[in-house]
Amino acid sequence: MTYRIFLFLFINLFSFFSNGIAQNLGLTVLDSSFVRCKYTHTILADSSDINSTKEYTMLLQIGKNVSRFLDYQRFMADSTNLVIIKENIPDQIKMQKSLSLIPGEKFNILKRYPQGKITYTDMIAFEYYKYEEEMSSPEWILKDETKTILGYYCKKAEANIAGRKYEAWYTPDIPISDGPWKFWGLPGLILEIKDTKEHVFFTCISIERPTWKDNIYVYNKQGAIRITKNEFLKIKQRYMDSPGRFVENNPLAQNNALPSRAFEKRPYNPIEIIEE
Amino acid sequence: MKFSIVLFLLFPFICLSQITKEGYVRDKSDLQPIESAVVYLFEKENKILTYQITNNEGYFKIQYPSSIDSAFLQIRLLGYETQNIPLKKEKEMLEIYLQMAEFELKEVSVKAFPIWGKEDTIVYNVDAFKGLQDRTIGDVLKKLPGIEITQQGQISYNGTPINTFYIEGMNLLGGRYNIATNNISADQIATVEVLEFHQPIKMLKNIVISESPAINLKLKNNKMSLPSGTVKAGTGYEKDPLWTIDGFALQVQPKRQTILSAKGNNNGNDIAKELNDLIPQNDDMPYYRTTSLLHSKQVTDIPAAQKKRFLFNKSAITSINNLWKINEESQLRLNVDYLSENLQDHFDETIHFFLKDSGFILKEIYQHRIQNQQVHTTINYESNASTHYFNNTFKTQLKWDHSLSDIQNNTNITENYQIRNIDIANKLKFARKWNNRFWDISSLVQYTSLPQTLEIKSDMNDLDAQQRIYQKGLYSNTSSYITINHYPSTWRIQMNIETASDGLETTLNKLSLYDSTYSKLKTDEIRTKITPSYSYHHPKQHLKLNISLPATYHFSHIQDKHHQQKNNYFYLYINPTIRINYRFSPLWETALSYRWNHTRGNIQDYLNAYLLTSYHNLIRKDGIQRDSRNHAISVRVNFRNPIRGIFFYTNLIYMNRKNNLLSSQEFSTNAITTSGNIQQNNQQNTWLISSYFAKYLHSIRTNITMNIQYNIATAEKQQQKKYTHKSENYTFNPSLNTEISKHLSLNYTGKFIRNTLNIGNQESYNSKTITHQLIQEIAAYLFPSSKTEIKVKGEYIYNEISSSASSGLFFIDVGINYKLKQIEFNLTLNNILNQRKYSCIVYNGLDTYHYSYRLRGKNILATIIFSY
Repeated sequence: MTYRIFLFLFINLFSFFSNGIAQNLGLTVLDSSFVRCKYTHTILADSSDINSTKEYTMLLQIGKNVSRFLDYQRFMADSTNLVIIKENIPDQIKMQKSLSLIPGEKFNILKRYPQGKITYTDMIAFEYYKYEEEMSSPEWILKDETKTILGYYCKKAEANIAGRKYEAWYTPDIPISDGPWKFWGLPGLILEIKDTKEHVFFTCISIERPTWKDNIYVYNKQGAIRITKNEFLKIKQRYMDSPGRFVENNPLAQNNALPSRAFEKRPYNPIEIIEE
Repeated sequence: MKFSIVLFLLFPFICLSQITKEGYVRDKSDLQPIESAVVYLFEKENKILTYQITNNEGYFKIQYPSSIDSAFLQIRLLGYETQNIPLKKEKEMLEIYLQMAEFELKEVSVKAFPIWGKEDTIVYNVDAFKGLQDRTIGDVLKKLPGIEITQQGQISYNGTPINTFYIEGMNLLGGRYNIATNNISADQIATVEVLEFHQPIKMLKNIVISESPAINLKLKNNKMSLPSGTVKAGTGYEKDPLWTIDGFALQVQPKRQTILSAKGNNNGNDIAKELNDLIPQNDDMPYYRTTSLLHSKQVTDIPAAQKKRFLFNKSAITSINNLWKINEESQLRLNVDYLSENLQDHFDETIHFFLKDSGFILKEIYQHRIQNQQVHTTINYESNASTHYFNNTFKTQLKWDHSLSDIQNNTNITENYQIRNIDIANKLKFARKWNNRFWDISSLVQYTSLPQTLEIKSDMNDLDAQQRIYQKGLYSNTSSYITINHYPSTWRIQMNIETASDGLETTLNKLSLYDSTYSKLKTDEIRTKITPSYSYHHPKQHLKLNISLPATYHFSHIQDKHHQQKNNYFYLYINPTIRINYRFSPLWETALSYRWNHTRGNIQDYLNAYLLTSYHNLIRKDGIQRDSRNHAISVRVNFRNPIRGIFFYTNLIYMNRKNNLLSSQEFSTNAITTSGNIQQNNQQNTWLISSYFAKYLHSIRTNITMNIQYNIATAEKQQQKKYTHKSENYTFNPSLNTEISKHLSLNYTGKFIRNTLNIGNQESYNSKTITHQLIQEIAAYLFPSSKTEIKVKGEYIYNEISSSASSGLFFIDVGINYKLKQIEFNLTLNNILNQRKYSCIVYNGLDTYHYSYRLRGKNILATIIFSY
């Protein structure tokens, strides 16, 4: 069984390297952050199983022009790798290998990049996908309720976003209209947000002002496949329904029988629910 | 539906009664639009009506009912000054310019990561590792995965000892960092940083490759207006009253650091080790170490046993350490230490000398009284800039050792050793950088004086003897190098001129010896060394390479003043070294090194006389030059993943040494051994494999480490006839510390050792001895409340002494601690089972030493600790 999983992983990786995408790695620095926040992100992976909560630590880098939101573990592994990544050397592939094995959320959200838009990148099976969407503010309804988070005075706001009803806590003391994930549009930084069913939850665990140059960068790599948001959500759904079937058309996967587990449906509870 | 109609009807009216304000927000300095600024619409001072966020053109549009009279806009964005703009009733297009401003952000964090990494720095968050039982930063350092601390207190990171110990980036203590690790409270430290491949000289960073890491302690408060520390006093009882007293103060400011420490006790706590220099000497310009020919008896490190169990002491130390930061680059440091020790040591010793037919056994009962006093001072000035480096260190060391031993074998014997040592040294280093060239000049001047005497008296007067030795030396070493750096390659040529003038005078008065009891030697030596070297290091690439090829021309002039002889010798030798580092990935790294070393003996080898080093050991010196050739190869593989808390390394070392002298030992009838050397080529081979693995599980606050060692060494010795001895040993050393709940923590350490000694000739071994040793220690810390701590510690030591005899000892210590704000009360009961005797075995070449030590019995100690 373990062997099969390994094989599966191997195919996963090998195909990733072989498609030539990784050839021109290298990165572009878009901005550097002046505020950095970490959030704990929990999500109920399976909406029918109350015990399926997964927890991640996420990082929000807020720059003057661009902000970036991603998994902190992956970010750290990335910056450890950064010294090497800068060089255009074949071993990046090895590095990339180590990156794709690192657990955690694989998505990367850039707000206000390009101007007025959100760029969302994520990995499904062994491909990177990328889409852009308009950065339109949700219709927030400001409430009078207040509470303190991390010593900051916060106010409540509510909105319906992508099929879920959210309750957010933002602090007017940090006048930056940003927040975790794609959330923004409030007159202060969002320190906590959850949907009313409590499937999706983000809470701030640290706020710092970097004393070093904390770059916000994107990989030129990836040659990520550009698609629309709706296409992405469908592909992801298709993958989660049966990862095995999703990859079996790949020439590499055909010769090796995939473990039956790979064809099983995986629980999937996306933050954004497809509007049919 | 009805509602819709009403709304439809009202629509024109609503439209009419709205005022629209639109405009652009720009940066005052460059007139660029400001995106995502918050535009509030206030009705009154405190009433926000609505808000808008500017888009990517800095544009906003805001609407409000015309019924509002005094509305104003407030534009806010972190990093800019907030602006209020009163609004007029009529429609207008606003152009708003924001001025950049310094902003303050309250930085907060609820849950920090235990370990993280940034390029070559690994950062450990102290609070994540600190348990309630941990007092000093040293207690926490022991638990950090990837960091190992020896019994002596030496810190290694992934197998390599550190080369600098910083507090807030400043090197206050030099190599005596035990003063910091044993005393600074863990509560004061925010993070411990490991700086991998640390090059302390700024301008050589990325040019001269360093293998060693450094440690930096980051304090929670680095601007202390008042010193902080502890004052401790305690008393107890064993057979006689016990006492301990202790004061420590630390003050860290951006421009000044101070540590003062004064301690004394008679309860077995080894405070002398705080003054040990723990930083390995670098090859560049080492201090000269004159090894004394006589050794005053010291309390030996007994394998496996904790020192506090057998140390009968009365010790006191004081240490004054000051550092002043003169400017950004320069600092001045002053360290003064004083140590005074009175030690007692009781043991039985049985030596099994290996002989062809039957062994030869010597039994003795020892009682030592040792007095030891030392004063060290260091004055150091350092200026470490990006274009130049200057460092001057002036060191003095005064030592008095006096030991008196009463020995019983068949008769009663006393040995009285007195050794004094004065050592004064000044080391200077200056380096400069122009574009891609470096020039460096270093110099060391050192004076050592080492008079030693041994007086032996016995009941029957037949063993009475007196040995006097006077060693002194004046040394200098001047080196200069030029470096040309063609990125990423560096060529360097270094020139060293070393001069050494040594004096050695030995006098032996002993009844049974008539000749060769006096000698007086003087040597003058000049070593001229030229070292071309090449290194390759691209900070962004994986490969680091260093090759050096030092050629030494060695001239010695030897005068034997006793025999009126003079001799001159010339030698030439080349000792190449090569080192390669390769980083496979940010996590994996490997290193390979090879070193060839050809050495000649020193003044002690020219000696042609007998020396008496103890009542039963004579050393015969024949004046034959020692010549030894060494190969050493080492391979290491390193892995670290700070995010997952995994650290791992494996080291393999092979050494081969070819000697022209074979060590020999002879026995005479009255149990006196004579050791010396005979001229015969021989070889020594050593293999050493050591492996370390550590994993930190943050979610259950548990650290697991495993240390495995295997080594095998073969050598030859003449003892009646020539024997080859091969010793082989395995060590497994697991440890675990875990916080089971808020109320219970556990620490476990185990050690399993298997020793094999084979003796025979080169073809086969016909004598084989196997012994095992097992040590297990478990400590449980219970916290019934936040103020109370109960400690229970069990230790089991099992030693096999021979194939038929073994000893198993069980120790229990308990303690209770009660904390009341700044004051702590502590009551400890040590060795409750009252174990009094500890037996163990030590191999030395062919011979086996069996010791039986007296231990401290059951004792109690009550202490009050005041922290400020």
